[in-house]
Amino acid sequence: MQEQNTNAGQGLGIAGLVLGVLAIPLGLIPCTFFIALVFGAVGIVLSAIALSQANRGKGPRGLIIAALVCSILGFSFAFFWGITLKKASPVIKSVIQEIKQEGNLEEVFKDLGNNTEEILKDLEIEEQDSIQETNQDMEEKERALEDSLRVLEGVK
Amino acid sequence: MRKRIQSLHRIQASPSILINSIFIVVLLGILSYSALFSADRNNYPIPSSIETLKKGKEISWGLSRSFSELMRGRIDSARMYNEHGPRIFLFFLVQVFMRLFFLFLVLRNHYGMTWVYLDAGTSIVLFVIAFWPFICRFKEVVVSVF
Repeated sequence: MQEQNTNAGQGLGIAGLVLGVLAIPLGLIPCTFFIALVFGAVGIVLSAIALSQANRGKGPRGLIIAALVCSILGFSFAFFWGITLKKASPVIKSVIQEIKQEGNLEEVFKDLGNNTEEILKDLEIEEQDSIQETNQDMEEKERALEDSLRVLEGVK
Repeated sequence: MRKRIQSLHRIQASPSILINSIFIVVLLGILSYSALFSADRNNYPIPSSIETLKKGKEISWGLSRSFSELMRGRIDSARMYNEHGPRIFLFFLVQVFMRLFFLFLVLRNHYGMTWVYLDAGTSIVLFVIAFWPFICRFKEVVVSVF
């Protein structure tokens, strides 16, 4: 029979247990999944080291195993939330695209707002030019008609 | 001096004292965080990691504000921020008293394996009751993703 009277790995085991126990509720709450991910990962590492120390030094392993189980549970909860967030990334992408599109529209409207007066002035000038052109065409046609009438009268 | 050294050795030797003490500090830290920062000012230093990225509200939306309102005794307002806030807050509050009670038992040398199992069992049951909506939501999300 081997006696278990050493404290090998106990310190790290306690640290792992505290982190693992904290990681479980934090991993279940979606807002704090990132903290749980860190706590769980550190807890697993510390518990694993503590377990190897306890095995070498023949120390008690009950607390360390509990720490390892809690850390793995907390880490898994947080990890699943992380995966969910990653899977939801198309939603995030679509939101970003929507924001981008809205941003472009706003820019277009802003540009339109700034240049409205200029655009109207240009339109008025174009209209005036076209009216003048049509008037000139009409005058030329009238003259041509008058000339042709005179020619006809002279023939008679 | 010798007594102090002996008590320090005792704390180092007994994991129960250390674990209970750490949890008391952590739980009091959560309660003081809720008391220090208020829902009215919304000046919480730790930002929500999921709500900034995900579209829409998640089950934990307004939990910190709910805790702050509960620390100020405004139960109705706390429920408005998060309907599950009061039960989780109650769990943390009960845990503070449980840790203090079991620490007292350890220091009085009455903390045997029966108490360890009772402590663990009660804490697990209370945790499941308090976090049941979150467990259900987690299950929903896992099923919908996979």
